[in-house]
Amino acid sequence: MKSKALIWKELLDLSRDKRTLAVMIIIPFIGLPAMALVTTGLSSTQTTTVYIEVLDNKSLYIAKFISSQVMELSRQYGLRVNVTISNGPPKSVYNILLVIPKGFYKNITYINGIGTLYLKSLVGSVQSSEVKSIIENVIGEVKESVVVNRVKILANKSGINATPYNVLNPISISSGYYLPSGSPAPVSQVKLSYTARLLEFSLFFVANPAIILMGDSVLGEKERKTIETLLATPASKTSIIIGKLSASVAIGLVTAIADSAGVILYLSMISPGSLKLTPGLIGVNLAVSALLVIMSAAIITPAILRSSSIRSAQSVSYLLMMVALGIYFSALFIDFQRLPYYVQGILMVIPFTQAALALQNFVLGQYVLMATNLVIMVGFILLGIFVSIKSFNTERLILSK
Amino acid sequence: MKTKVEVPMDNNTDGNKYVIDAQNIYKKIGKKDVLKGINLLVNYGEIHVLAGHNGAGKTTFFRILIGLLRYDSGTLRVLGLDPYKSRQEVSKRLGYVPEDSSPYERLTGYENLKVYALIYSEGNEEVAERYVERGIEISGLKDKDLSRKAGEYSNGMKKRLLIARALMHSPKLVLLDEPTNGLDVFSAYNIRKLIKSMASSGTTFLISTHNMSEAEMLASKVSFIAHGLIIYTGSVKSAIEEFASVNLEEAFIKAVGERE
Repeated sequence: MKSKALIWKELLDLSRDKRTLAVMIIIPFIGLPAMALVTTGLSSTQTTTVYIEVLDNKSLYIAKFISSQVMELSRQYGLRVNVTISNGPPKSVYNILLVIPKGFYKNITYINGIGTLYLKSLVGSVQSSEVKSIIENVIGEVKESVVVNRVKILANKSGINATPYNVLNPISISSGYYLPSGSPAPVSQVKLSYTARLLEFSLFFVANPAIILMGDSVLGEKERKTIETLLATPASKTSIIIGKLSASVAIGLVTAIADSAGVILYLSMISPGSLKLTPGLIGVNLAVSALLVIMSAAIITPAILRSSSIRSAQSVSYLLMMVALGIYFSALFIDFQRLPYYVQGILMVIPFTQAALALQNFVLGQYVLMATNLVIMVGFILLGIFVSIKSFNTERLILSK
Repeated sequence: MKTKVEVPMDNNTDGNKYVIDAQNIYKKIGKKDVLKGINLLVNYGEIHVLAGHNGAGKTTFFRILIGLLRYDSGTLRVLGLDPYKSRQEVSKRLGYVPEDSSPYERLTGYENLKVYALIYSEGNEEVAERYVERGIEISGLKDKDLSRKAGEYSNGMKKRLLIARALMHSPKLVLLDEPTNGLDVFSAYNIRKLIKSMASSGTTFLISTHNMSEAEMLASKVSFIAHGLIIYTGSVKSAIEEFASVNLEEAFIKAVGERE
């Protein structure tokens, strides 16, 4: 019953710290999507300039083809491109410069000739590299049509009945996906897996508020000079820890949901159409997030209680957040299950790994492994609470600077 | 006009002769011997003032009496129990206001009282409500102040709230560490008035102070503490007489001077 009073007190105290809550909720939830809007907005307003210098009159139609194709494809990718065709050198700086030299047409129409194009792009421009890649693709189309013509000529000369496309593509690949169980996976599964990776990364934003709130709940009492009177009441160590943990978790959950929603919004805005969220994935993500919030608060508590000073407690909290960042950032690029066993062993004892693995195992249909990850998280929670109660030393709390 | 709330006071002594019985209490913090063999007996119903200079060991001794710090050697009984081993039991019958403490500043005055009332009543809402009413009466805070956040209070109001919070469950023993330190004349006067009024209804007070005028105004018994030792215990009058002084301040200076 004392825990109930303490939970009530902690909830009131934490929820009235409007500035901290605003920083924890508003920045990721509103700030990240706003950042995505600004980024995509600015990106769509910048124009990449392309200059095609045609020194070979017969190649003018090739230059016009490249220009129209580049404009069309760029529009499809949401890029603004301005192409200028001229027979003289550029008079100002362009992002991309394509030179069609004299004799180019003659070289590509000769059966054994090589026509050289000069493609240069301005250093340090992100959008230039995207447009350059589009130009290279269009040149690839031109190249293919030249080869097709050459194959036709050779086939005619040799009297062989050959289809140019087949000559050029003697091997076809039929690709697909499958799950660890061996059953085939639809293409949508790839999107789901990609989404799960992004959700794993967003777990960093889920773990963070609980660590900060728990730290504030214990260290804040000391800084605000309220801890001594609280410790002088009949409230037990357990009820004090449960009170602080429960309130940090409750508010941590709200901020975690807002934060991870902000991250998902941000990612879906900067790469639209690349995410796939199913009710199952959302449900598992919520369960994993809830356990992660409780686990983060539970494992930081003994570290805070055992710290000899407020500064060292803050350092430990910061270190724990860095560990979480390391795990969840690597989840974007690393398959934990494919790592050498000794590396896996090390990662498994880091509590944060279990949350990432639970999501990975869910999208791969490995439900038993996912359940194991969740049970291990519960184990870390219980261990954290047990060690917190054992570490609770009033003398250390009172005398730490 | 507020109705006076009667919370039954248990005046029995549970068979203990003294509220506080400290014998030879030693405490080392880091490399420093903070307490070097404290001996102190506090009787039921008295206002016992522990007077000493800064760094004499008053706060450390208080923290030991509450069970927040463990003493290294000696024997100690507070309300008949060892406070370190029975912290929860002792704290149920004890009220404490540390020198450097504050109410929960984001909570209103009422909420501050309510939280502690719920802790002391072990979640019993009815009893908690009675404690809160008593706390409001002790604090003397008006309704509009009680609904304001404690962070907006003056130092005097904060101290009154803290004392009310420590007294509302009718503890047998109240420990106040420098209760009027940093307060203006009016606030300090009101706090002293409150202590005297509570003591008249049977509450035992142990008050630490370095303000000798305050000790003289409050104490039914005074102990001088210097360098981790109690160097004198007696009434204010006998202290003045023993050290052939005009007031307690002079008596204290002479007492400490004799030791140095």
